Amino acid sequence: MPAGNPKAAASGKKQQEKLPLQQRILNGILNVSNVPYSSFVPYPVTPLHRVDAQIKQLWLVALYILIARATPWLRVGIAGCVAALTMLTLPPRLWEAQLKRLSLICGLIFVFTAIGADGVPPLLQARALPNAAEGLPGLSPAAPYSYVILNLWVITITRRSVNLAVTAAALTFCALQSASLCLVTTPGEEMATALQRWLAPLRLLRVPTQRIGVTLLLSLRFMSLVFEEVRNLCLGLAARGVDWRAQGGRGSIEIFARLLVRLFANLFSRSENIAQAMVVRGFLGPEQHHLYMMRVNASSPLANAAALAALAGLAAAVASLR
Amino acid sequence: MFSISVNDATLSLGRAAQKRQVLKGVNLQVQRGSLHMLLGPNGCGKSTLLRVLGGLLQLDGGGVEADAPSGFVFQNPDHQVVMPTVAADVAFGLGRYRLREAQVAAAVERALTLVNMAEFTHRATHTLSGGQRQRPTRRRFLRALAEEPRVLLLDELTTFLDVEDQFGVLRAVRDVTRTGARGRGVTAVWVTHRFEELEYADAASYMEDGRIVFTGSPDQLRQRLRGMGATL
Repeated sequence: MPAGNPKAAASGKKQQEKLPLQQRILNGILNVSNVPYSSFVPYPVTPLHRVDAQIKQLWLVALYILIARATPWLRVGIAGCVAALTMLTLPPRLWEAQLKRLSLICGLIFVFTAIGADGVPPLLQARALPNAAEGLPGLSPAAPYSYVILNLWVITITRRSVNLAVTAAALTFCALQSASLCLVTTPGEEMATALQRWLAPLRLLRVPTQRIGVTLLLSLRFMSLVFEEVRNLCLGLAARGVDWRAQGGRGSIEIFARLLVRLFANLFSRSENIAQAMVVRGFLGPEQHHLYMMRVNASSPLANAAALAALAGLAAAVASLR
Repeated sequence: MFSISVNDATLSLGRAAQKRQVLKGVNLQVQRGSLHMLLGPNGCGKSTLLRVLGGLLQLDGGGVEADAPSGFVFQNPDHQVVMPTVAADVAFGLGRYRLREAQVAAAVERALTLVNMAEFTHRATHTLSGGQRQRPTRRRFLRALAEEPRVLLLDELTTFLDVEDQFGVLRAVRDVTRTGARGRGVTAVWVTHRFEELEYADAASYMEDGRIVFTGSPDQLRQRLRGMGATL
């Protein structure tokens, strides 16, 4: 279709609109890149690639705690910093679609939380004031403060609901995006090794840290398998050219249910294949098998120091602005 | 003398209600240092027998004696991938040995360079294309050889390869059985559907309905197959 032809573009759009919902879902899955969300990208080597995996994990944990303890505006600021870091360090092809989707999800979380958190009256409400509120001086009528920010028909947005919405959206954004940033710039093997190092003291308590590390690695491998199987099954379904209109709602649900059953069967089969491959390749158990992690990028002391300094700065900012 | 000896092996697979006997008294002897091919129709139990030899399945009855250690190469390259990135996956098989990281890194680099995949060293395994995943097929059995196995178990290794690669792999396996990794003969059991591959075998067996019905030289097997109506 010629890109500059508005008539053809309009007819293409019309055709797209005519597609049944089931077909559009299928197309949506097939149009997603065949590289799963947050899989390791070795090139280009960014400063984040040079930061040690242990420090990245420290950052991940610290972010969750700091966001929970920060003021609402600081939460938004932290989320903005994570987004800016993503855009500055990674090439656009890696973050554009990802940030759009994540922003949409977080936007929806914000809207629904803001509307729902304080808009619906609770079924059980204490009728008496709490003791702490007794004897407080009343607000003067001229004070600009108002607990209810917006009251439109059934929609009520209050300061509390906005605060909760900001927290939920910022926490979701930071949790998903920082984990993604970490996985895109760190191979799974290094993440597993770093986790094992953090857990090393627990060996004294006989915690099977090796087993936990291997399990993490296999989970990372399994994530890509799930993605691959979903795509393969959808591709098979698309190739059959199912007439979704003729199938109707019930028929479509049946087809998707069968697809789900097949997905689980295939995943179990793939898991068995991997387990057999491990056995024939000499795996004797997590304690006996030495995993050679094949380090990708040697971590740079400068990058590590910068990452730790930035973390300390953020912690100080959160502590002072509380 | 014999590298592998299977005596009256029986095995049933499936759940209690639908249990099906896959091996119905298999007897097989494989000469040490030979390339032994296993042929037969689909579902006759070839791959199951190979899995028994590799220790992946336990027999219900009978016995197996085989040299150890063994290296197993699956038909589908995807099924052998364990680790999330290419280099770590190539190094996985060496995990049973205590080696220096530098030694392992050199071995991995050598192996990947041989299949022109050095630039994919740190790529995630699932991001490789179909062709890239099949490229290491030629080296997969050599990767198994890095662990110095006495027996190589190869399950339809050439299924996904073009004709040129198919015979290249066959020649390489035959050479390995003659010279071995360090001058020591390695025994290879090769499961195949392709009669033309018999040319490279030292001996061959034909399986039917869970039993080995014939064992002999490749020429003898060809004669038998012609007698059964096959055009060879």
